[in-house]
Amino acid sequence: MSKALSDPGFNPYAALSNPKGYIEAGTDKNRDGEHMMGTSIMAVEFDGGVVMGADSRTSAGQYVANRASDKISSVHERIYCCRSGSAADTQAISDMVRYYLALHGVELGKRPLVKSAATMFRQICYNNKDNLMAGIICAGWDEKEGGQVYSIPLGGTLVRQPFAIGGSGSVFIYGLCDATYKKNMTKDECVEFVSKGTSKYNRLLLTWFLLANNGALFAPFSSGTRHVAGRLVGRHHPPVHHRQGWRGAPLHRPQGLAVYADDKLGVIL
Amino acid sequence: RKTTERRKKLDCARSETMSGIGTGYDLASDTFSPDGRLFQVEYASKAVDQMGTTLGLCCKDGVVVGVEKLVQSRMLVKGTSGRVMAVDTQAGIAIGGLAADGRQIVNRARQEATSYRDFYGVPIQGKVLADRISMQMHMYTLYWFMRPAGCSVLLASYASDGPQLYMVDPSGSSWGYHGCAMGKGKQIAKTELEKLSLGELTCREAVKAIADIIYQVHDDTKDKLWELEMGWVCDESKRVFEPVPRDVLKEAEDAAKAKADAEKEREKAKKEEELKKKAEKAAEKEKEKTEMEVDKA
Repeated sequence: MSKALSDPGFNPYAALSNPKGYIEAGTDKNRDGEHMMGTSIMAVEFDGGVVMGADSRTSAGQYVANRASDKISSVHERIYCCRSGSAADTQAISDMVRYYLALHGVELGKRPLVKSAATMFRQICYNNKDNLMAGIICAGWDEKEGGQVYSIPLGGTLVRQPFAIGGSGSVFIYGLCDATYKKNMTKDECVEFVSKGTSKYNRLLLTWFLLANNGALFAPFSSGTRHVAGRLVGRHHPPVHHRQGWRGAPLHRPQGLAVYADDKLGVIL
Repeated sequence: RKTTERRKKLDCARSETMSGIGTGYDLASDTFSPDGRLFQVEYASKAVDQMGTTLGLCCKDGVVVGVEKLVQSRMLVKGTSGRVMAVDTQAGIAIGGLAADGRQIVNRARQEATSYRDFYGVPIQGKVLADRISMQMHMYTLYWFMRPAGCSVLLASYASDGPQLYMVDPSGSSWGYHGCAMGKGKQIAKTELEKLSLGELTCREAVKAIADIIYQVHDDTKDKLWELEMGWVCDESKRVFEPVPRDVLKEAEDAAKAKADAEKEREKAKKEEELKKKAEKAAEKEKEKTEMEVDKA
């Protein structure tokens, strides 16, 4: 067991022993896998908007390609999406939806509905389901229905939920979320709910799970989530997010910026 | 001299066959005239003016449209060949002008509405649909191998942006209206519409008003066979565009018919009175004449 714990799962000195001095790109599956977002994402609605949270790890095989990635992208002023699955696929999809939503908003003359954005995501995911691997949570605020969360999982279903979780890390928190969620939470309660779900603790659970199953281990320096980008999307202000630089001070807690429905701006968490 | 003679002949021929407003510049729909008019498009609007009257009213709780459907033969089954057609659950179109052209427009509007619903997840709003329809009708005016649509279209919509009435004419320009008329009796109809207090009208009252106006403008001597066709989308119809229910329509039609008949009786009586008066005057004059002659004699 102790041997497994210290085994990084790949040979960090392989390059040195190789006559070329490096390992060809594409040959080491542990290092050159497709960039996946081994992810925990979630979003929950409340009266004045939604709270969205995501971890920040992008992995390529066993290698953490980016430990400060932003898995929450904006598709319109008050509509955002959490992305999980293939990084490239979800970026392409959210770029497309951003484009179409912009046109739609111009034609409409006012902010588009979250339902329209979610429907667009679904059309793209469903019609191209053979070629995509994307699990998306589309959430935002509009005048008609207030805060809304729509889940678009792998096959291209569209379902509106009071809260949604997604990504490979979400399997560990189904029980937690179901137990902790209650209807009509306030904004602060929602923020707490989300930060619990995407916390470092739950990230560690993922690590142990993988460990138990195939002996692989994320190298200690990159275990656990360093920070979570949390975001509130609400009635009055477009959210501003505050991202840690890749060499920024290590964070012990998730970080984010809160936008309050009553015109106050403040740092939370 | 031969060429000038030939040219004169041609000019004569041209002016003989096509003497009129747009002589020479009205041959194709892609040609402007020197004073900047597109004659084919204007002629298409004239086609609308020759056909039965079409009216629309936008009320506070919905939109009502009505068509005076002139019918060619007694053998036609009542209710077929409709000119009021639904485009989506919340919107519908009344066609004024050539019905066949109008049906193509409705077809296209239906495609636009369903694909919008498919892609955006919400029903298409009135002004967006009106834009799409006018883009389509305008496209017909751009190319020499297409002719402009010979119809104007009244779009009645009750979507998330409230009740709206738009008219799109053959040139492709669309305007939103509180009340709108086109066709043979449009001048009279427009005057009558202006008399109504549009801000407070409900749809039931609008049905009566439209039936009234159509019966008023309808010319019995010229078009003996005709039908009144109406459609509405309102709170009463649960925001679904449908033909006005038969009982409501019948009630409105009977009232309108009675009113129109009463008007006719009054007119007749007036005319008879005038004739009488004229006859009396003539008789008096005759009397005077004979008296004068007698006096002379």
